[in-house]
Amino acid sequence: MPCDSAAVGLLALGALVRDLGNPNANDLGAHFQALRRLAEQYLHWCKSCELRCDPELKGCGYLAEASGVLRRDRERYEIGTISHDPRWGDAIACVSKRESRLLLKNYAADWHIDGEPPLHSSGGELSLNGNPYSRIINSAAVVPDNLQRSFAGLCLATRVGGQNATRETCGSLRFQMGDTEYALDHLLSVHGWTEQPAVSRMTLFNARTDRFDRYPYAPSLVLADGDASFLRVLDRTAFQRSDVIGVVHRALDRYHLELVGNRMLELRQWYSEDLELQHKFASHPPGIALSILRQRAG
Amino acid sequence: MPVTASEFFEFLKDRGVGTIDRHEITSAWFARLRRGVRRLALLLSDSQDVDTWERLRTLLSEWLTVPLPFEDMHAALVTTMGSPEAVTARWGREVGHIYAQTLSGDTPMQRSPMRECVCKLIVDLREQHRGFKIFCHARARPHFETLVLSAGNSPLEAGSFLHSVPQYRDAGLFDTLIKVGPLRAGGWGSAPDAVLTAPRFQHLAQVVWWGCSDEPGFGYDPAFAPRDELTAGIEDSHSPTLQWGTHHSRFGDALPPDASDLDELQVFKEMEHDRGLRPATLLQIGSGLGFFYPPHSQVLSFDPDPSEPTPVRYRVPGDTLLGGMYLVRPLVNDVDLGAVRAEYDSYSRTWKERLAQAAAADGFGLVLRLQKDGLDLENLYAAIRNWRKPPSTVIHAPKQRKHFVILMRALGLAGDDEGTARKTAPFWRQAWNEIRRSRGQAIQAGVHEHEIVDEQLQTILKRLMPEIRSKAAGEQRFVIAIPGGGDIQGEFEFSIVLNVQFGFRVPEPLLRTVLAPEAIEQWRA
Repeated sequence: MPCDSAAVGLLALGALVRDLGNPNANDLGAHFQALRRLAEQYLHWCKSCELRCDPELKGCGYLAEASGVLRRDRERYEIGTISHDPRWGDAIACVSKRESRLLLKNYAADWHIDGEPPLHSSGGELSLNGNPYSRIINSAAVVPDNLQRSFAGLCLATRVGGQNATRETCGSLRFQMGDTEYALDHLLSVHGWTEQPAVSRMTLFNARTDRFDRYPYAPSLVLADGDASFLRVLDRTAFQRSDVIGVVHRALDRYHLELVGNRMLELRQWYSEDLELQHKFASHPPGIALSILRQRAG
Repeated sequence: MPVTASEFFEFLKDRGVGTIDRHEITSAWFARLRRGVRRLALLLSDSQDVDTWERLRTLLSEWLTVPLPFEDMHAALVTTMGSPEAVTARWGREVGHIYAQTLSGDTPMQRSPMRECVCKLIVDLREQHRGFKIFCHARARPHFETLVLSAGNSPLEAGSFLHSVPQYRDAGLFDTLIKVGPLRAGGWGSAPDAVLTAPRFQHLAQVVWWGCSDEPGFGYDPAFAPRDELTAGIEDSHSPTLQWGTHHSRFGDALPPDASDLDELQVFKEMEHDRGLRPATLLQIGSGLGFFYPPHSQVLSFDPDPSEPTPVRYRVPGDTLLGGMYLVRPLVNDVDLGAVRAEYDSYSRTWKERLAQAAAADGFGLVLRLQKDGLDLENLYAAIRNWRKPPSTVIHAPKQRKHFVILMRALGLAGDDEGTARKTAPFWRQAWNEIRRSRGQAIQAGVHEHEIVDEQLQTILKRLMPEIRSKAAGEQRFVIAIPGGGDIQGEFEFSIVLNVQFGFRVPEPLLRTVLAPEAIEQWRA
């Protein structure tokens, strides 16, 4: 990009709207398994770990600490045990100050990890407003249920300056629709970027602190804001199976430009240019250069 | 008011073909001076006198990229080399002869045609009410200011200058960019590649001395690295559509017939690669001071961002260590070595063997016992692994005496001098003194960056965090004393990093030492 822009936010918005039209783009199916994995990690490792979380030093194989705290209707529960019963299968026993509950697969959607967005908005009060999405992209076919469900398939990797830098840039871009104005940062539905808690369809990787905003997972698409963020994403194991889009400012010193250029060159060992896709974007604005690499066949 | 992305793209769309007006400056007097200094520099490059070679290289590089008055050039050469007699005495007759020839003839009375050309450009742009900016190094700025003032014009505004990539990035849209010297990505007179690939202007007015060429590959685009075999030769329909048209003109007097078009900047660049200089990254702190670090160095730093979970840690300049963070320099001035001088390594061998046995027999039980007794380190498993390591420059051991005593008790070595013949002091005290002594030796030997800073100083910094945050809220540079009562005495110096710059090649001894602005500039690659 020849100038500072919210391009990465716009790309993320496009991907988000695309996924809103996909009835399978939600975390419902894998949610219980994710909670179960979290419970196992917490009970077998994190609960008794003597280290302040440092998975590399510990060699536990995990990427980040599991706190062991879940939420259900805003009530706070701590994971107690994992059990199995032929009647309902696996269950996670959870304890709050007032009661004990079994977290069962069929009711897993009512639970979410503390500090993360709710999996779905059962009453609708936490759902997203679909109006701006379908008006920004006229051809968008939004599946209404998706507005009430979180999705962890997309990831926005912030600038290396931190999430505020990316958020401010995205927030400076606003869509006027009738009397209402929608800021891009709100439309991205990143957890914690809106005043009111809501479902989130965009996870955040803070490239400054190297941390995710929710339990580690492998997103299908990562959008990286800036050269350093792009390089960090390419080097991170968690993103090895993801598609990656990096938006890089041209006004960098040669050293940093070459870091990106050399990395792209390295990738060409395993990837080749996708000229067909590049031609589809032939009419982009002047000053923008586009390079698309696709994994080599075989 | 910053330019929005929409405004910028509109500008690029309407701009069409940009123009590069390349003014080549000729001067018979300067050609003679330049040739003489070049010959001197090339001759001295083979000698052991690296310092003088560097100064000549710096002189000539500056002359070719800054609009200096001729009298300044002459004076600077005399200051650098001295009298012709002294030069002959020091480097021999050949060098002395060339030097005398170079100085022969008076300094011309006329102004430098380079300065005249730049001045005329500025005056014309002002008369035509065309917005312009000058891209130059901050140290070159006074020479632009004086050339305008000396011709009786009103002074240049502060906003007329751009000195860095961030400044260029934040510059609004304007009509003309003035650049003295060739387009180069690094070294003297360097400019961002974005000058060509992301222009904020319509016209580039480039003023260069005759014979200076733009660096091949300037305008580097990371998206267009060399093609692979499969795609080579395929037309880039997706390449940037920015176009430039170049107009050449010549300004000045006739060149002597023996004038050479050798490009010194290019020659020096090639020579530098053979001189064993190391690539370096500059961390610039206040007052123009800076530190060079090898690329990918781990530098102790403090991030004032409250959301940073580990504010004090080692970071890589330009990668994780960014402008706005603080460089932390431990200035250790004294280490209490203790009165008892134990024989190096004699005690540590005993307790390390005992520790290895205990960890192998019941490591988990040992950890629990140590925790119960008050050894409350967060990373106790890793710490034990570290303590078991054989001594190197230091004896790996707990940082605090009380922790060491707990460990000795857990190992059954606290009370008696088991394994030794000494009865004058308990074993733990002898062993502790041995550790203190080894740490002192390590610090004296300058190894503290690797061993002690890593362990002890970081622990102290964590304890000092409230005070560090408080000072960082209002000061760009501050010093915090290392609390008394410990093994290490001294202070931490915190300096805010103004920016991180790349593209330097420096001699090894200059790495990690504080340098003045003049000392920094000469090492631009």
